[in-house]
Amino acid sequence: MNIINAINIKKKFGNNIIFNNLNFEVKKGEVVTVVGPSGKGKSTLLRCLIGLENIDDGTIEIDGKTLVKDGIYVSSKKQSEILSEVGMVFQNYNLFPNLTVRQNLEIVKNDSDKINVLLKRFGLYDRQNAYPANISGGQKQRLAIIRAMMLNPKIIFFDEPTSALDKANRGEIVKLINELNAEKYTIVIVTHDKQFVDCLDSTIYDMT
Amino acid sequence: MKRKIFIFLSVFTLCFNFLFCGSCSAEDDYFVIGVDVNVPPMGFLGENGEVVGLDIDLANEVCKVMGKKLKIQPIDWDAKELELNTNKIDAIWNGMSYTPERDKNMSLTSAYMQNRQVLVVKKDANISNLDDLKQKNICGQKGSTGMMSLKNSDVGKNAKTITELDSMIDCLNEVKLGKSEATVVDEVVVRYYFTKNSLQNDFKILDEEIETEDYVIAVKKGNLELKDKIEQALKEVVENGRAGEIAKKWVGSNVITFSKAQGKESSSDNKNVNVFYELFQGLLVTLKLFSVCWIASIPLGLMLCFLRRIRFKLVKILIDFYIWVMRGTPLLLQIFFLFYGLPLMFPSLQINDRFFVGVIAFILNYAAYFAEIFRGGIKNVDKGQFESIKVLKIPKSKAIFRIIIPQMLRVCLPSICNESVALVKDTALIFSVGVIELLTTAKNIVNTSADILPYIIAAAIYLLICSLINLIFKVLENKLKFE
Repeated sequence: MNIINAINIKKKFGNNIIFNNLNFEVKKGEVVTVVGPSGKGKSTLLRCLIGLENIDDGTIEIDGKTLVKDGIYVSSKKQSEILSEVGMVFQNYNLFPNLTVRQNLEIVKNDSDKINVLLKRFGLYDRQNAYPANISGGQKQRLAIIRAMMLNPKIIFFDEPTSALDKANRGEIVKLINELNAEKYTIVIVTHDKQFVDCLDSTIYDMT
Repeated sequence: MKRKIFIFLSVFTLCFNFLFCGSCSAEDDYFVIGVDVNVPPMGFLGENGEVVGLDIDLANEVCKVMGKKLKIQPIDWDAKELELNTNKIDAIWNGMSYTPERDKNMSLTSAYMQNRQVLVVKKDANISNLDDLKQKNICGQKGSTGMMSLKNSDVGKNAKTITELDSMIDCLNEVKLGKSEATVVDEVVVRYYFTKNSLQNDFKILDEEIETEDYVIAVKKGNLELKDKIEQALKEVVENGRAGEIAKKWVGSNVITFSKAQGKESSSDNKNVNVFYELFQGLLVTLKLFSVCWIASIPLGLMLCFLRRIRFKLVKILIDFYIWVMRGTPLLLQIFFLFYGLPLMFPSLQINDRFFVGVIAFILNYAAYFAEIFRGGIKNVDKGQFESIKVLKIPKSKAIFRIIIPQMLRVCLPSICNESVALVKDTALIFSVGVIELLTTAKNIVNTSADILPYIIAAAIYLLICSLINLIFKVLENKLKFE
């Protein structure tokens, strides 16, 4: 069963058509990497699927529920409900710089036990009172991942997860993604990093 | 290069000369008198907009004798001692009464005429002296010298009622209609009014006065040479009969004589002021105004800034219009509008608490500036933050207060600090609706004492407050670094 179903979707900015009649599907529990040269709308696709951009035509279903049918969206309350199945790790993480590591999680959901477990598991427990400006790039990414997990999504999107990392951290993110996938998370990754794709056992969706 | 500097300097000197020659070369030819243009018939604005009056005519004659040209300079009456001491004017000549206090601060001439506080009754009334006024109704102008002396006199104490009205004309009407038997008025003013309107046959002025003031001319303290010159010239004008003619023209009788001036200490002039205490009182008003305005206008500005981002276009248009008006017009004008303009347009909005109206004007003005600062701040918050908030479904209010505002503040802090410092200094503008704050207090003391110290103290206090604010913001900036 497909957890994401995008059928004939169209997106344009003004007169500039980014994609048209695009079909994209993700099976439950799968790791999908979206590849292709820049400017082809890889990130835009991800943003449409998580509701940051609205598509101009087509249908999107997430976990069996219709988000938009033939270009017509369901009510914003319903959208929000459907989209809570999806978490996202942004390219530059978009952490809240004025909140400490722990507060970055508390503001999403104030669940102290869950936060403690996740912080410990991802090696951030000692840094929980530090501000994002004072932790390393890898730590920031792990915090972004934990934050995306706070709402218990079934799917996690990664936008260019390796762009800000050095080689050593790249191995780490591969390991993390495999771990998450093993926990039944469905994962969609937008990337133009071929070596990274080679390290992953993923279904490749090429947007060239 | 040297040539250029030379040309620049020549042009500069030339401009400088142009700017100042007007005032410095005239000194010897002109006799400059300072007047408050609201004292009819002594000195006031005539129909053509120039200053006319008994004193002006008299001063003209005196100038002729002294061989000078008369120049009339309207001044702030409260600053008359300062005007003299800084040689901005040569003399005060404007129906000014003698008081010992003034005698102390300036050099005064002998009295050139008397102004009496007299009682006016109907021509056919059966009243001929002050004793006849026992158990009668007497009226007078609210806050006038006459009213004050009436209340302190036996006549006032024995009167049946004393009514206070808005103007002398109201008082005369009251007498004419028989509602009051007599009214207390300024003799010179009422004579001028009678002459101008031919009312001599309707009223009579009682011979006995309840108080007399001596009109004198003042020059800079210690400038006895000029004082003697004026007295000499004035004596000549009285002796050649011109003074009498002028007096007849304005008040219908010859009131100009020469005598040694005397007068009572006026209670309001002769307060023994403690400079520091007075300045402290002013400072309290300044601080109160600043803190109330600051505490109210920042949240209001924030609110406006967020309100204009909601979906209803009309709200945004209205707020933008408001900000446009507030930032595009002088704060002083806004204060005037709120205090004087609004009650004229909507009588129900008449608010007499001056401080309150002033505070409201300040808050409305500063909120507009703060809203504009915050708008810039929001623009500076990374777009990704809003995307994170959306994707993570963080409730709006929580997102605004915990994420957006703290990040905005970090960017806005220097501008907010600037605006706060400006506010401290702008508080002085509230004097325009009659609230006495630090600067006005200092000015009042300087005006009467002609001592510059209060200005220096006030400057030091402003500097101190502003430095303190700068310091607080420096600390805040460090706190909001999020590192």
